[in-house]
Order: sequence, then C-alpha cells, then structure tokens
Amino acid sequence: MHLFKCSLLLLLSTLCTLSSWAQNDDLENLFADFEEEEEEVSPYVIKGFLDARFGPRIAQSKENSWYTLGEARAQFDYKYATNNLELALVTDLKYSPLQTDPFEDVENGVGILDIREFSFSKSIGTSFELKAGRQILTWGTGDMLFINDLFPKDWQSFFSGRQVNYLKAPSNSVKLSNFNKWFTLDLVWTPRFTSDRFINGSNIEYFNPFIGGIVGESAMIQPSERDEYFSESEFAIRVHKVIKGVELDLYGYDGFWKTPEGFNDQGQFFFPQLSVIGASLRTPLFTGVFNVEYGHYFSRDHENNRLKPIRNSEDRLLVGFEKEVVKNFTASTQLYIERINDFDRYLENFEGFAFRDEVRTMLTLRLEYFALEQRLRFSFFNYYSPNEKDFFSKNTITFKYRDNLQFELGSNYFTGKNDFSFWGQFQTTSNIYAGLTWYY
Amino acid sequence: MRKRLIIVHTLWLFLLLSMTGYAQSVDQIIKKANHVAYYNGKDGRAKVQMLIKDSQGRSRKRSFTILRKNINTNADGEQKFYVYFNRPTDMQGTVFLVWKKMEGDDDRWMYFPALDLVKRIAGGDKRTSFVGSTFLYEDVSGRRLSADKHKLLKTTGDAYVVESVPVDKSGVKFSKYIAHVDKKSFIPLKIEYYNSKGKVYRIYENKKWEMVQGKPTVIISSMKDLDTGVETYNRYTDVEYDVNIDDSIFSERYLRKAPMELINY
Repeated sequence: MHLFKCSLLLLLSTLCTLSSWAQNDDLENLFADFEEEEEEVSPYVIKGFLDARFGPRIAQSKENSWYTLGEARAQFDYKYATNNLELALVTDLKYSPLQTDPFEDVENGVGILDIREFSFSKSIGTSFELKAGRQILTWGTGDMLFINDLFPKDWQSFFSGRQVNYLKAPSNSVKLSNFNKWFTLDLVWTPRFTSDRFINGSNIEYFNPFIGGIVGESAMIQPSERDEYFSESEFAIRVHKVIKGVELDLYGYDGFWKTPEGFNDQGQFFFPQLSVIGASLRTPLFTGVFNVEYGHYFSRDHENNRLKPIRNSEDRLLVGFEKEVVKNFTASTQLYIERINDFDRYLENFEGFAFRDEVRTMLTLRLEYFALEQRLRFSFFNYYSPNEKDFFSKNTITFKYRDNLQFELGSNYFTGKNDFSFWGQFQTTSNIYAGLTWYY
Repeated sequence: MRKRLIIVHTLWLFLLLSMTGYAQSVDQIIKKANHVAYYNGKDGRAKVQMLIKDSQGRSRKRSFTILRKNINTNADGEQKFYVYFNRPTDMQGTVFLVWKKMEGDDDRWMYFPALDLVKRIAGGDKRTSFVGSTFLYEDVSGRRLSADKHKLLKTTGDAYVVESVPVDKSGVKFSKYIAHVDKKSFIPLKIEYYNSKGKVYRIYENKKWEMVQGKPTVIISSMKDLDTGVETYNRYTDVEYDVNIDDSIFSERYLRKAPMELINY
C-alpha cells in the first residue's frame, strides 16, 4: 500500500514536471516567430511601404480632373543609427496619371520622386546635436493648426487624402541643438527658402481674386522664384523648457511667408519677407492636455512698402484642450484667432478684393475613437469659422487588417457661404478617398 | 466590575493590536509585490516581445525596448519610462515617454518620427489598452497602492492571496482584484480581475520568472480578456538592472533622437 502511494506520488510528480516542461515549451514556441526574425543587434533599419489610393471629387470640378488623388507609391526607408551618428534616407517613388512630367519638380516632390529625408545627425560633445540635410521638422502645440511652426507643409496632400504624415514636407536645413541645464535651444537654418506645397490650382482649385472666382489649371499660381542660396535663407529658433511637467517654448523666425501672400510690381504673386516671434505653453490640466500658443507675424515687406498689396502683419493665437472623454474616445477642441494689424491699410491696399474680416476666428473639433483592439480608428476633424461661415471636415476611418496591412477610407469636405473665404474656396475639391497600405 | 472592565479593555486592545499587525503584514506584502513588479534596481531595461492573440487565433506582434528609472531611490515612488518601438513596422521609431507621478496625472508624450512630432498625451485614463493589447497603460507602469484597499484573504502553500478593492470605483471596470503573490520572492503569480457582477473577466498570469541579478524577474507573462477572448503574451529578454540610465534620457531630446546604445544592446 505504502509502495503504491509512493509510486503514485512519483508518477504524479513526474507528470507534473513533464507537463510544466511541455507548458514552458509551448510558451517558448509562441515566440518562435520572433526568434526567426530577431537578428543580431544591428544599427541598420530598412523598412517602407507600398501604398495605393484613389480619391474622386464629390463636388463638380471647374476645370480640373474628376478625381483629386490617384496614385501608387513605394517608400524606401533606410536608417543607420548609432549613438552619436545617424544617417537617414527616405525616398518615395510614385506614379499618378494626374502627373505628366515625371521630373517636373523633384525639389517639391512633384513627379515620380519625393525625397522625404536625406540627412545625417551627429552628437557634438555631450550637449550639442547637429542634424543636416533634407529633413522634416516640427514644433509648436497646435493640432493641424500652425503658428510658430514655419517649416514647410504640404496642403495639397492634406486636402487630397494622402496619409496624414504627408502634411509635413521636407526642407534642406541644418539644425543645431544645445542642451544645457536651463533649457534646450534649437537653431534651424534653411540656406534656401522652402515654401509650403501650397494650393496653386493644379488639381486642387482655389479662389483667384483677379478673376473673381474659383479656378484651377487655367490660372495656376506661379509665384516669382525665391531660390537664392544664403540671401534668401530662413532662420528659426526655439527655446524649450519643461518646468514640473509644464512645457514652455519661445520661438522666432526670420524668412518669408510660406505661401505667396503678396503681388510684386509686375503683378506677380511672390513670397514677401516675414518675421515671427511667439511663445507657447502646454500642460496637463483636468486629466486632459491644455495648450496655448501665440505668434506675432511681422510682415516686413508690408511694413517697408505700406502702399503695396502685400499681406499685413498679424497676431495669431490658439487655445486648445484635449481629453479622453471615455475609454478609447478622445475629444479635442481649439479656438484660433487671427487679427490683421492696421486693417484700414489692408482695405485700401487690397481694394476690390479685400475679402477678409479684421479678425478671423476658427474652431476645431477632433473626435477620435478606437475599436477592435485599436485596429479600427475613427477620426473626425472639423474646422469651422464663425466669421467666414465656412467649414472643412476631414474624416478618416482606418482599419488594420493585419499588422502590416491597412485600409483607409476618408473624406475631405469643404463648404462656405462665400467662394472667396479660406475654406469656401476649396468647395470644388471636396472628395472621398480610399487607400490601401502594405508595410514591409 | 472594574476587573471585568480591565479584561474587556485588554481584550479590545489585543484585538486592535492584532488587527493592525495583520493589516501591516498585508500592506507589506503588496508593498513588496509592487516593488518586485515595478521597482527592481534603481533603473532597468528590457526588450519586450508582445504577442496579441484573438479568439480566432489570429496574432499581432509588437516589439519594443523599455527603459525605466526610479526617481527616488529610497522609496518606491515617481518613475520615468521610455518605450521605443521596433514593431510593427509602421510604428518603428515611435517613442512613448511617461513621467509617472504619485499625485495627479502622469506626464505622457508620444513621438512620431515621420512627422517629427512630439505629442502630449492626456494622462487621465490609464486604463486604456497599451498598443492595442490586453495590457493597459496601468499594467505597464503600475497602479498606486493607495488606489485600493487591500486585504489578505488567505495564505496557501506558496502564495499570499490578497484582495484589493478600489477606493474610487469610478473610472475602473473592476470591482476588485485578487492577486496571488509568491511567498518567498513576492513576485505576483496571478491576478484575477472581477467585474461588478462578481465574475472574473480578466486574468494576469506570470507564466515564467527567473532571478536576474538577484532580483525576481518576470520572463513571460500573459493577460487574458475573457470578454473578448483576446490574450496577450509578453516575453522579456535581456533584462538588466542598475544600468545607470541618465535622467536626461527621459526628455524631448531623446524622443527626437533615440539613445541607440541603450536600446540596441
């Protein structure tokens, strides 16, 4: 009997041990997939994606194609990163039937090639970082609104339904950062001015004040060039500090309006000189995030030639608040105000097409909801201007079928009481789009 | 009469003492368990492989490196976390930064490399899914001990069984959770979360643990959501403690440019 008990115990314990081994094996097997792909620690990262998307207009185009977006794109992203040296090359190859000349403007990504990044960064000592080359730069606190971030944006992509990452365009710049015990200092020098990829009438139509209506390809904006190295360069500076979780920033900019905001003596659009100083604060508040940002736009060409049709100086202010209202649902809202300085002068200089009010206000509302283990994302982003009575609604639904396969459905809807208002002028561009992205 | 009063009072005092003694020991258990789960060493780092399996057997993978630093080395309090993502591909280079606080909301940031964007994340709801897994932000960075009332339910052969009931029931889905804490190492072995109907809906399991640099360390853990059938497995590799991670790593500077020697090791 005793022997029987003992052997039973032994058997049981052996079984237990075996099953626990088996269990451990199962556990390790779970991660076998990772093991295969787990290479040795390497400073190289190679990745990218293939992306195809198509966006028909839902409004009647005046002059342009019936679709705002139709393209296939392959991104190749190479990085080499060690502690004090980083090299990056990110290029997009793309094809769109809307594009006729494959090398029309490589600098601005018009054609088959868009070089997103080609840069190197290096640590200098322990308190300096240098990043030089083609790069994408961002600072400031606004959500889809920019005051002190005067790095190039790509409004064409934003309005036509490309991935949101394409809202920022690259510039060829040198960024030097200093980290000391009081603050962080960033200096960005762009030796040759880089404008926004602004709405110029190709594909996306706009309101042309001379013609007095919404136009497209027949009246494309071709501003006079600003492409002199050194003499037409841009400087941007930021001082950043965090005090007890509160982020405080001071900004400065010296360069040009990023979109053509004046007419020269030949009656041609051009990029007038601009300087900006500003500040921002961002902090957690009431279990959300609160931010406020101000900038004074000093339109130097206007101040020096006060009788010419060049955009006036302005004050810009935004206040925002974001909060996760319930689990997986975040709401954020912003109030944005733009005030024209010396409004009477504006009315005189732009007589006949002075469509703006002295103060432009805009409200934004973003609602974001995640479902299905965050594989499904709904994002509704709305801009509404009470004084201009116009509206831009940007909505997207993204679904991750697998980790590396993503579908996107979206719409860009513009409407306004007047054709000449900020959003109203894009009403013929309203579109819906669908995209498919495969990451590798 | 007087004698009886003294006896009653003595008994009462004895009862009080024994109660506080009991309470102290449960506090010690959860304090030690919390230390082992989140505060080992003065700092630490690990590579994490995450596997999210849904009820239909489909799986998604995440991999990331976590750097952690205890701010106050004497007491288990404020901490900073830096999480650098390698997988999935579209998240490669994304960084999540947390300054965990003992009072008020945590400070949280995300860095999106394609936009060079440093986004501030509302620190409010820590009970949101961490990167789409069944682990919540709170599971990753820890829950304040003072957020729950703890009670030692029983002691089994190798574990303390502790029941924790949230002080503030709003904002949490569970009505209580019951943790099994290893008696010797104080490492949490299993945690069951109960919904308001008193049913278990979420189970954490410590599937494998080892001593690393003399500290009890989870190697494989899982979190199963019984409502959805989704289960997440985490495997921690290359766990290291006392790496001497500088405080400055947990700042905007290293969001924009990751400290590769700390991440790729």
